[in-house]
Amino acid sequence: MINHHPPLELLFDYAAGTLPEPVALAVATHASMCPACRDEISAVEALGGALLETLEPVAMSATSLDAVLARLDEPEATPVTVSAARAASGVASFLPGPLRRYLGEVLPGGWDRLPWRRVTRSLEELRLPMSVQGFKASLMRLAPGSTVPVHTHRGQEFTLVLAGGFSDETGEYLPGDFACKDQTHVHRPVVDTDEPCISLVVLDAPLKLTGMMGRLVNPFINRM
Amino acid sequence: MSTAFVIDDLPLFPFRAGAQCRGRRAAVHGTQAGARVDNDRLCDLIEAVAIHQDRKAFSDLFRHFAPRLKAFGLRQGSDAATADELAQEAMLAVWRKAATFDRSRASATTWIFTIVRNKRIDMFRRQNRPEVTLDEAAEQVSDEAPADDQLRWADAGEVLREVLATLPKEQIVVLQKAFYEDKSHSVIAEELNLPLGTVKSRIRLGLARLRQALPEEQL
Ligand SMILES: [Zn+2]
Repeated sequence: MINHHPPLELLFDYAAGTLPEPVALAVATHASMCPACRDEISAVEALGGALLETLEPVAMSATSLDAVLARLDEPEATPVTVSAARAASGVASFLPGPLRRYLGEVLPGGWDRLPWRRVTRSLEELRLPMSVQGFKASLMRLAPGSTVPVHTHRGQEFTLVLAGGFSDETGEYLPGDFACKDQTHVHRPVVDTDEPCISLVVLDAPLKLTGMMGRLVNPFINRM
Repeated sequence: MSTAFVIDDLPLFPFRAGAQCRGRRAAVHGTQAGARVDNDRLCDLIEAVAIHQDRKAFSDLFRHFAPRLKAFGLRQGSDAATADELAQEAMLAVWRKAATFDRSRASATTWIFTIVRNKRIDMFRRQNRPEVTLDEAAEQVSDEAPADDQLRWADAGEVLREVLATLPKEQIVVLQKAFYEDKSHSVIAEELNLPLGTVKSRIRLGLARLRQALPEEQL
């Protein structure tokens, strides 16, 4: 049962198509795991369709239909579809769909086969390539029993749990749960499950660390 | 954040039944029969493109939708030539993606909206668009009922359109900015010189008004 969902604003902006890619990735991945949020997105899309119908049509240029008809048989630039990428590389199904295109060459075998980069003894990271600047999107793997240094956020931080879980003062987060923190939060998540906690973490500004442990992790967190 | 997608503790659009409420709604909304037929006809055309690569059907779709898509492009501040190009690119995507259309999940116009929305992201923002997918990994997590609920959105377009007309101007302005002008909540707040909370509450109020205006029969 998923207990923590993205706020309505994020679902709305995702459906309207105005979220930057990294935040859209977090929302899409959550929605892939959450029928309730898929439904809210469908609601906003239906509203978008209804608004489209209310627009006064504007005449197209005289040659536009012929121009498009002439292009119908053009070969499409081969899109790297999720299913194609998956079939080609055997990407295992443990990854929710929206994440697969970012990890195209991963072999099957579970989370251990991902090309993690060790940051500290208890933290590994896998940075995801994004088409926009100013954000950082990563998979993070925290060892059982570990804590993230106390920190506040200059911008926003979105965390989607993919495996394992953590707790902080706002509750318990398990697979599918979505956490959304901003500068008003000072928090200290603890991985209180027996397995590592794997999350998709999106930051829209560097973290400001407030704890003693901060210096240790700072170089990695500020690498935007 | 656990109250996400809930307004005043009520779901945004608490439709329940899918197919069986269609008949009832048709009775309630006799005047919407025209729009209903229109959607059926547009769905038929998209399917003709998907199944038979029917160019005549595509031309009909183009004549109906391209001028609206151009208007969509103009609303977000493009010049006429760029708006024309956006409409053409979106219609080409309609031809290529027609096989993904499912009339039980979305109205023709809603599907077209998602196409032009994605094309706008391609053309103007040059970003990838992560898409929601359904698959085993995701479904393992979810012990909730599968989203057959989406069925009901296929039918909601006419009702939504009808009640949109009753919304106060300031809510429409915010909704239009959100959909047509490629603005996120926070950018809208900046532009209108309003606190973010005010924009959020206007959008929530707008959506809540839509919900309230829906006929009881759908609950
Ligand atoms: Zn959700």
